[in-house]
Amino acid sequence: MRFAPIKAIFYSEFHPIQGPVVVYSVPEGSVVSGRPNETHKDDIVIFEHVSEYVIPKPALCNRLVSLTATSSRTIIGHPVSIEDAKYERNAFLFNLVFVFDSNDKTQPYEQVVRKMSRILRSLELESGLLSNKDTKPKVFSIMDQLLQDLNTYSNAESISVEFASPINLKLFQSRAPPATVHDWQVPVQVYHLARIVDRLWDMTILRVIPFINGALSVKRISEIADVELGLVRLSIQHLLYYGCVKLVDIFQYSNIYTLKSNNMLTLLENEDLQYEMLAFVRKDEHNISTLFTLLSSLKPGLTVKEWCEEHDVRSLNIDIRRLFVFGVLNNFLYRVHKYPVTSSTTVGSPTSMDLKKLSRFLDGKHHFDGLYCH
Amino acid sequence: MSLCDRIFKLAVDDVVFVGHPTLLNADRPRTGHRFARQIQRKQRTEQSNTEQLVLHGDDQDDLGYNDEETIITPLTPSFEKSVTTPIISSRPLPQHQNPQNCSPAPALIPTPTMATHPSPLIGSSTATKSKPTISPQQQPHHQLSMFNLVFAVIPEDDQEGTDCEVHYVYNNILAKLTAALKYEQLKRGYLKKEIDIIMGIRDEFHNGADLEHSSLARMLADTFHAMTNPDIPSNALSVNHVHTHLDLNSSVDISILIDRTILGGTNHCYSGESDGMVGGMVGGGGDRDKDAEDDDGGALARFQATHPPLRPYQAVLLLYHAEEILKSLPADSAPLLHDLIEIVTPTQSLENLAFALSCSLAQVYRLVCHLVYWKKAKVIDVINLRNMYVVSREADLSRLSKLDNELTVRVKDLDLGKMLSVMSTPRAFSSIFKDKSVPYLEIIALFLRNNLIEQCRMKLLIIIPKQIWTLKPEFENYVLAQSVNELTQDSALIVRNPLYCNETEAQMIETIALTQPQPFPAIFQRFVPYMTGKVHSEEMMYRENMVRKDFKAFMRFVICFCHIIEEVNLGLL
Repeated sequence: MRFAPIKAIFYSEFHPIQGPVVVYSVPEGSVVSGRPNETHKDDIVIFEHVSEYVIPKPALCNRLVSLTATSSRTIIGHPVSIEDAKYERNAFLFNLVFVFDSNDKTQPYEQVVRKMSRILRSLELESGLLSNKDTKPKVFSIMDQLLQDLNTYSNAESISVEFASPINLKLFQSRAPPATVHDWQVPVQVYHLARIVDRLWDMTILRVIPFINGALSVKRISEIADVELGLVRLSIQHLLYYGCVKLVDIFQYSNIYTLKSNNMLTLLENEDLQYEMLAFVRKDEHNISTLFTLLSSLKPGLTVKEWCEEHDVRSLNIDIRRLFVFGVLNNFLYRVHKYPVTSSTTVGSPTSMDLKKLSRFLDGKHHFDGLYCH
Repeated sequence: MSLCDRIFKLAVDDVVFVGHPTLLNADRPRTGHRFARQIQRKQRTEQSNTEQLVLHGDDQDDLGYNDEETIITPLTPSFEKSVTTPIISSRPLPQHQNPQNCSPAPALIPTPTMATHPSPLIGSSTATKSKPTISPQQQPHHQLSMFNLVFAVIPEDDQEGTDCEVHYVYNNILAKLTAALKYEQLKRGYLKKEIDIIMGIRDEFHNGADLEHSSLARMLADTFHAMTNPDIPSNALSVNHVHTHLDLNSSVDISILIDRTILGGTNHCYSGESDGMVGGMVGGGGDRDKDAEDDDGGALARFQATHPPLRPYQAVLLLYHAEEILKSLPADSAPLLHDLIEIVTPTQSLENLAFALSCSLAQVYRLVCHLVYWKKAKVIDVINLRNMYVVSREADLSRLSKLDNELTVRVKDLDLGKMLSVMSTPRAFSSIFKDKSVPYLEIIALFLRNNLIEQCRMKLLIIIPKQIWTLKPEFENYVLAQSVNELTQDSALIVRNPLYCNETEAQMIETIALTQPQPFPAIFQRFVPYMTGKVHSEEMMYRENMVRKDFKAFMRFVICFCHIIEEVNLGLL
């Protein structure tokens, strides 16, 4: 994944006489005071416009501050205030600010901005790097290297600082939180996990991985691997978060699947996907039109068993489970669930305890797969 | 100054402050301040002729609205909530911002801009008729020069969700309120007056003041409550969309559509009551969690899916009773909109509707878009007994008991659960209701209105079966060449796009056409361009001006040469 490029980095501090000033900026001229050059007006940050958010009042200090108010730029900084009697105004205020395009996603950089402010703060506390005129230019070389390394490699390794540990930074892709893993769901490996796993991985995950075969449900994996169910769920959720597995429903011949027609057309147009599907499902030679014809005859209400009988699918010698798993994973098939609901015309009331317990799930929100596990 | 009149977004840790700093003086060209310049020009004229100035009463403008009139809605504003807090801040007039230095400006359009969205259903009734009235509050010495309405948002989602939420708040709520406040301030000095009231109350009661006496504070509190905890009307069809009216100074009525899916907090759901044993077994939608995860079409694809272009053969289904919708319209709404709401039925196509209203189709489209935008109607295919319907993937089955009661009131002895169970398989409505006395139209409309069912449509692809491609050696060679490494001798060839097919494929299609009995060869050739798997049957019939009966007859003959993909039509709401 490519991260949004940093347009500029500038270091600003509160000067005892002049007030907020820009001390260094890379590339030079990207942050100006006064009127900008007319030709590059939109690409330049005018410091006076944003200075009260770069060197803010004490309430905003030591917090992550992001501002999108100028026409094309977003600035993110973490203003730092260090109070000490040795400074001219009993406090030293500085901010290392990152500049981005206003439409860019800046979330991956938030941790970097926080970490840099933390590092600069400790450097100032330990060695007075920022307040000492002789050592201050070191900040410029750090900024320069940061801009180049983060934009080129998405990480910055071993930026050396005198008298301190080197700075290591890395951008991480932010991922959406993983979906809840249910007991009846079946994890399918997207990558060959056995090849990438090593002994330093989490012990529970190492124990679970051999049983992730696209056929066993979470509950069944827990039983076979002899691992507590909650831990299996967590392990699968962890693998799901990193895109190593995907979840499908338990394959049964009573399942009903139907088409997502637009995605079916994608299958028809995408030859790579066709080859992948054929390699995954066939035991004999078949061409795509045969499978396409078979799949397009799926419809709501038709179970897999009925579909197999109607089209004599068994004679084609294909792996039916794999066909449906492939279809669901590639989003051109979806599972139609059955949701039992109570009805106003139903006479009588549940008698046995089991039925009474069951009746609270008959609200149209629980499908049969879920009910089996309850 | 330089950050004014544009979006202002400041994020401090997890809180995002979004505002639109607004200048009320008009000394800069090209900033959209024509109305402000017009007001200032009038002020200068009036000041130069103070003796001759005839003021209207302070309490009443020239439309008869009473500026001091307050809304009779007892509501205690609460600004202490942490989720979304509207704050008003004002700054003193900068020295160089003297309105006396303003340049004269063209006197045009005293209408507030309501962002880029369709005009609100409940619009401003003062927009174009009123003549600006000068009140003492608007004298330059007391004039407010700048204001900023700020919303504080704590997004719960990732960055994409945050940006979406902030821009939604800005475009749909904040920009509208700011435009209305600016208009009212320039026209009547409303904002200054209200700020004086608020400051007076604050001074008197310190921080624990009750701001109920300020209409501005009440309006902002109403906005806050509508966004964070909207009252869901009992007849609401969607808990995710709430239509709210905000009254500003009894002059501007602002309509806001609050989309709770964007603003977060979508946990509200109807409570399903379990009254009895298992009744119907309903084949509902796919696994919803998984679908949400799998739906990777992107925002544009989702928008296109939910907002397809309008077609003349489609119909409009009102989501509320016509009288209810008419009651919610503003006094100055278009008469054509009234007429449309009164006569529209889901069995009438838009083309017929335009004919009945004696207006152009474009006008009907515009009105329909308006109704759909404000969630008052949805676009469907004309309801017909022969249409194929199936239970929708998005059906909210937890509402069944409530809807069951509603259905029982209208049609006795009809079990909703059983009906949906039957409709879990796509089938024509006529095959479900043999009894003609059943008000099927009402039932279909009820189902469609509540998103319980959706229509299946047919799309076609051409397949060239073995009996065609073995007719000529060149056909055979071509098909075999297409099936390298995956060959089976009895397989068929699917023509992916007949519009861009090569010569051999075109010849094979022509051969298929010639095998049809008269008069179908010519009809087949006419329909070939649509057999791409993307054009559904209704569209084909409309474009080729063919009635359903003839199309069915045609399909009976060509069925073995076509792949039929039954697509579930996505809801247009």
